[in-house]
Amino acid sequence: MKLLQLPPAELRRQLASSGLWLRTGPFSLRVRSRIPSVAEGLAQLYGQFEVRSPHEAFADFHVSVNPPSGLRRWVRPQVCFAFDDMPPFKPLPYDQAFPMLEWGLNWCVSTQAHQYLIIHAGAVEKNGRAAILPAPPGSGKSTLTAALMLSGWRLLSDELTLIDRKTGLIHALPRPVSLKNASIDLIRAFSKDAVLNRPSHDTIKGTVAHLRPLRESVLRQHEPARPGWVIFPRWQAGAATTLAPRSRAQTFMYLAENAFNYSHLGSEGFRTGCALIDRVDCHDFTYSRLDEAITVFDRLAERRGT
Amino acid sequence: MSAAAPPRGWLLQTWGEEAVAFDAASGDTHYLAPFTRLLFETCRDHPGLTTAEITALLRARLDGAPDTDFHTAIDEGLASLQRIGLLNAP
Amino acid sequence: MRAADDLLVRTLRAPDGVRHYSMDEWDLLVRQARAAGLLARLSARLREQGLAPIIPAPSRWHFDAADTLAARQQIAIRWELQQIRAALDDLDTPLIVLKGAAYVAARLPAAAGRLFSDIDILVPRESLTAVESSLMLAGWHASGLTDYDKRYYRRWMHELPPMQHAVRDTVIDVHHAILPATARVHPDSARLRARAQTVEDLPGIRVLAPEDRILHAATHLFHDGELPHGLRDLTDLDLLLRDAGTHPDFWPRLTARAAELELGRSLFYALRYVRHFLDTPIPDAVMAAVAAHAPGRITLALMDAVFSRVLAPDHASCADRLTPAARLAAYVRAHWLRMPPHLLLPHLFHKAFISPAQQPPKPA
Repeated sequence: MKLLQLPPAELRRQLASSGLWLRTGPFSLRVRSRIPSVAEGLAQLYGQFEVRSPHEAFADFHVSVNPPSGLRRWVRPQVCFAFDDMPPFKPLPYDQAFPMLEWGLNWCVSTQAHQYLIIHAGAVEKNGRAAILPAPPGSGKSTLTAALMLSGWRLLSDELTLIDRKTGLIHALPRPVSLKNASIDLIRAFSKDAVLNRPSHDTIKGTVAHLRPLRESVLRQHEPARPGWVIFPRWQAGAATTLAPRSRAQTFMYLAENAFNYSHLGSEGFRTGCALIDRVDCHDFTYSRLDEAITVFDRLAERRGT
Repeated sequence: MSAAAPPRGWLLQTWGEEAVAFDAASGDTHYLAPFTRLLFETCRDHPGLTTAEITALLRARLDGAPDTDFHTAIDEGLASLQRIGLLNAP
Repeated sequence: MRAADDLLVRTLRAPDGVRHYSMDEWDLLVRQARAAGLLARLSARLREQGLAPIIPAPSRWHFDAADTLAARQQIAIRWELQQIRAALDDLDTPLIVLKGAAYVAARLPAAAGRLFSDIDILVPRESLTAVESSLMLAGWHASGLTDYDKRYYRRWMHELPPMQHAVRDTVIDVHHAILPATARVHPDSARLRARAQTVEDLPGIRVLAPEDRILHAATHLFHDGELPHGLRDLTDLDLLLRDAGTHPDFWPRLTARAAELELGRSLFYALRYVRHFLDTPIPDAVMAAVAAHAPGRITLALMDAVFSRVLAPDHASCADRLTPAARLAAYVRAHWLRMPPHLLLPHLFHKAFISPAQQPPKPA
């Protein structure tokens, strides 16, 4: 059953009591929350994801997003994320409850799921090959990922690219894409298929909203993808669209330094990273116009596909 | 000087002229720029040569004129390879 | 005392039971094990009993991921020990490693599936300053502590505060004794050091003799307040005892040494609770011998109520309404044992109201 088939009252009831069982990519969740914006966000953005009976026995991650007990419930109210009753972060302002769920779920995956090499990158797929977009801050990675998804590419992930250690394939986790500040309006204007939830303001990253993954991306979430490219995007006002080759060895070093769990995997991490770099083309990509960027990516996909 | 083949517990991967190396004992990962990589391979393929002999080999291979920069590069390259543990210190 | 029948504890005692577990139980088992820092150890236990194929597919990656972490940490510990030895090379003190890192160094069964936060080392008191300087030269610094904490360490514990490496983030706890000088008992470090043993593959590193490491584990458990890893430390004891117990004169040596070092009370509690939770095989004669160090009946009843709760997995499913009080009692007791009363109250006041403890989430 899909989440959109749950009546809203039932969704809220499950969240507020024993928890909502939800599957996202390879991971099953049990989510508890009494906060309305969390229920709203889930209803708006997770409609295509699978839910099961609240009595479903096993879940990979038991999480909750709730106000902390004590004074801060009433005075400048806060919200707390917990992973099986353990809070990995300090509380945030109440308004940020939904983004906190997203950040918390990312934390769960990146600290636990060592069956994958987990790269801090977006990933999209077309014609059977995936482009991995690593994400230095300010690269505009999420904006580009969102635009590609809205232009016929399958969303594999926005934040966490999961490389299966045994097969080298990318396992999709097509959860909502997080957009900040100016990107929010930009993507809204980019496509009529763009559905975003209510923004949260004054977060550590500015104003944040999340974009619903397209139905097609979610339907195919259990289909792993073959890596084709690692492309470092950089948005620069007024820049010409340029795709330049990049050193494989240096790309490897970047991944080793920026993957969440590279150091936890030891030799396995090195081997998985090398196998990945062996099978991809590495590029630096500069752009200022989304439409031109899409064209370049589409051309890459066409060439690979033939 | 003596230089060893990659010590046990190291993994090495080359792409083009560059390489990356992994030291399983420490968990450290290192990037080898083209010159350092060439230097390492030369030492590995010709164990037991002196610095002068290594220099001569590399000079022939790279077709370069011997100058102080070249010698400095070799000294620094050897020092860094020893520091990270890919080569044994003499 | 409270029965030791939480799912994780039952499973550790009788792993074969997993053959009949429902998915509900697997879900709870993984969560209790993770909360207790025992997921990797549980995984190792199932594997050694040939039960790994029984683990149902949805939960299998949790065990595998824990195995990955534990295996990586073992390598890291051995490396770190070599770095510490190199940093302390010019000191002619033998470097004695304690607790978890010692189990790895000596390749003991108690190293299986173990996860580590710090490395604990024992050096002579006279060498403390020199050790601190050498460690600082090699990149370790006292960090992450408030000034209050640092003074607490230096003045009352006569220890160095934990030292963290600037680049590798590893933490070393440098001890000169296994209990602080302010404690009521003073096991003689020189005697412990005299019996320390070398280990294969790690020149210059020593570990305590088998009886001494068990006594240290027991003392640490029953004198320490935080007990975030109470059950894990109990499983360490269980594995150490089962391994050492195979040697012919181990048990008489253990009880004699406990008496010699004035650690009989800790050993009494250790054997009592390790049997209660994990069914560790201990000869009746030994239990009778340590009973001589038992506390009075009322104290014992109180300790049973406290420790049967505090040593249970640190997960909501294993707590009853008395658990919070039990944890507080254990904390206060441990500090009472480590500190004279006139220091204890200001310390507790400070910790409760000025620097609230931040419990970081534990790795699997």
